[in-house]
Amino acid sequence: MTNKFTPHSLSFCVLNSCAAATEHKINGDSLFELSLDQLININVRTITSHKQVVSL
Amino acid sequence: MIQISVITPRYKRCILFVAKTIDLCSSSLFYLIFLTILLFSSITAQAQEKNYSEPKIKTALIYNLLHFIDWPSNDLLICIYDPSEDYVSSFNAIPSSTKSGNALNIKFLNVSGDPSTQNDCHIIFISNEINTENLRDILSNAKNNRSVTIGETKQFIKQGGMINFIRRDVNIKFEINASAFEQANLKISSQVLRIADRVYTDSSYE
Repeated sequence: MTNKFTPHSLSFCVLNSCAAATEHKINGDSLFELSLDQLININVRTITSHKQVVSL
Repeated sequence: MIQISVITPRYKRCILFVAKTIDLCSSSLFYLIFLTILLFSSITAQAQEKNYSEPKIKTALIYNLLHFIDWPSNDLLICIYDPSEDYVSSFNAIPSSTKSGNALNIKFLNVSGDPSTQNDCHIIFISNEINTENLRDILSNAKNNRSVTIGETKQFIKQGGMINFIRRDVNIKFEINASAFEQANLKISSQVLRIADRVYTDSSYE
């Protein structure tokens, strides 16, 4: 069966890759890799999010 | 009239073709708009991820700051007194080694426990949930063991603490007690002193 690249499948892929990218962002762009300058300029989250970020 | 009746089927085909084209275009346009919205929502989501909780930022600051201190030993132990759940999860995510490859361990301490458990700690983080009396005892013990003390209370530096986190609007800054570092015979990089929100010496206490 050929893999048809339909607008629907595209939107589905975009949705999935976005989710994966977001996870990667949390895990990959780790706070531990940032410099002191960057860390003291990060905005503190003031509103508690319903989504729990599992790692830095 | 005759002419019209003759060419009507052609018109019909033409109208059908135009209608199909419009339908195709509108559905393509719909998906294009849909994808644009998805992309924008993704960008917004990533931007929101840039905001981290105070414990996460402070933990990362502690991890970063330890690299600017000359330690008498290679392997380091960070101790945390009475941490909240947020601090436990933040410190559990800390890398198991320093940037130079030395082992980095974490130990959670209870203020009601044996005070000697903090003796082998290189860094002691004291959260703002610790009361003044306990803070004084912890700082006193830390002084004898040349541990670097880090806190997050208003009076922390005045009480002899070495590094204190303070909130400035939406950011976390830190202040340094340079005298306490000198007294403990520990050297902290001048880079940190430059970035610090305030550097205290014996004469600068108010």
